[in-house]
Amino acid sequence: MFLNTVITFLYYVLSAFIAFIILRNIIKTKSAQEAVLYCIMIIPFVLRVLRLK
Amino acid sequence: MLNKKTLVAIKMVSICLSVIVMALSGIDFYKHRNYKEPVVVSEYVTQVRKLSDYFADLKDTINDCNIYIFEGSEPGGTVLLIGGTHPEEPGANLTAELIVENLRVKKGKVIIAIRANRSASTVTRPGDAYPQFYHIETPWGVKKFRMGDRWSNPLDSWPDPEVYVHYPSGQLLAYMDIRNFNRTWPGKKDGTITEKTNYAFMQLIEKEKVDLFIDLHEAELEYPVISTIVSHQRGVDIAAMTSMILSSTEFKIGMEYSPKELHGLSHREVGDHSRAISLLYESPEPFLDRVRGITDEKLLLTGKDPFVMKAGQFGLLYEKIDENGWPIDVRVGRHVSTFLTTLEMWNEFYPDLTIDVEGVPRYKEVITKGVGYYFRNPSEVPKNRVFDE
Repeated sequence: MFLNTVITFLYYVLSAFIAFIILRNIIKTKSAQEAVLYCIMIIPFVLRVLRLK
Repeated sequence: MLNKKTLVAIKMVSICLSVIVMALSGIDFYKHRNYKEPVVVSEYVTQVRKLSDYFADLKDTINDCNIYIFEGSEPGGTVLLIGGTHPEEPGANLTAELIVENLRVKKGKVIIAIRANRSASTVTRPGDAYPQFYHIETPWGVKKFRMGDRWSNPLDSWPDPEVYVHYPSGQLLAYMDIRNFNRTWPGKKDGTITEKTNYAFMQLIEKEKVDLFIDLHEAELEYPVISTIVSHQRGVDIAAMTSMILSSTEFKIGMEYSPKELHGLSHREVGDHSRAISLLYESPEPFLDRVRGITDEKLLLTGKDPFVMKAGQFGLLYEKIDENGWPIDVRVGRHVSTFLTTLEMWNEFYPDLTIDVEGVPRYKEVITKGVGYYFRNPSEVPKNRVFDE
């Protein structure tokens, strides 16, 4: 069970990290299509970090 | 090639839309997870305890459900009835709640949990188009219930293993079934929240000296275990008599033996690991069929679906279905009548452990008046009779 807790914690850290990378890509990209795509991609990661879904 | 200003504008609009979608969906998920269902307990209830009273590890967790205890004025046997094992099967928790709101016990003891696995009632399957709530008409207005899932919420139990190894049998099961409350019996003291919940119920069974255990379910028509009572080998006499009496007087219902080598299910493990005789009831729920059409609240409550009917015409189902479907009133009516007839049979077989109850309607009454007729108005009773599920 301790290992489960550690993995769960790491999962949230990873989710936050990926959300951050996506946000960074939204800012950096020069393609409008990619920006829209990243904006859709980021939604589940943020909802996970906030423990809403 | 877009100029810089246009690109920035598109990004800003996209981010704003993304935040709006996140907020709207987040609010929806939050409201569903935290929605409280008011239950008006019958005036004859003698105690309302928490599951953590039997296993302290569950205190203040999502699965610390209410345990409603009804004691008669004379001693007798003890029955534990649970609904909400799989919250995507609303006939189960509605039946348990109907009984809690109307029951009077004259002899013996009846213990009821409406939402045995609360965690699974705080999540649905958006990918399968499950509704978040369903609504039942009552004489005083509409009563709202949380729709749920088969498995505990991953927010409460994560990660799943590659393969779920059932405790204590060592049987290998599908990974997600470590969150399936009817695959984790008899539970594990230091396991996941689902296993701990099973363990807590086993402690309850032991401490309250439960003689008879009943687990309420619903099943898809494509599944062979349907419209039946599944019984541990120690309960087959009662289950068979119940099946025969009901089939000749109210509706057809079968009876099946609990497989001895299939572990984790209540009808097997509760009977094997406690003194209680364990039974499991199944009623038909077309909403669960994979061949169903539009998946919405209407299908959940009416049980009418042309695609499931078509499957029936091709002989692919294990239960009949016609244009009348399987309405929730019929499914709940089946469960309450099966419960009452089981108790009658129990009293025949174990006269020293009689459980005598009244106030609970039977099949025909539930169909005539509707399940909502039996739910009380929380605003018309003293606050000490209202509990949240």
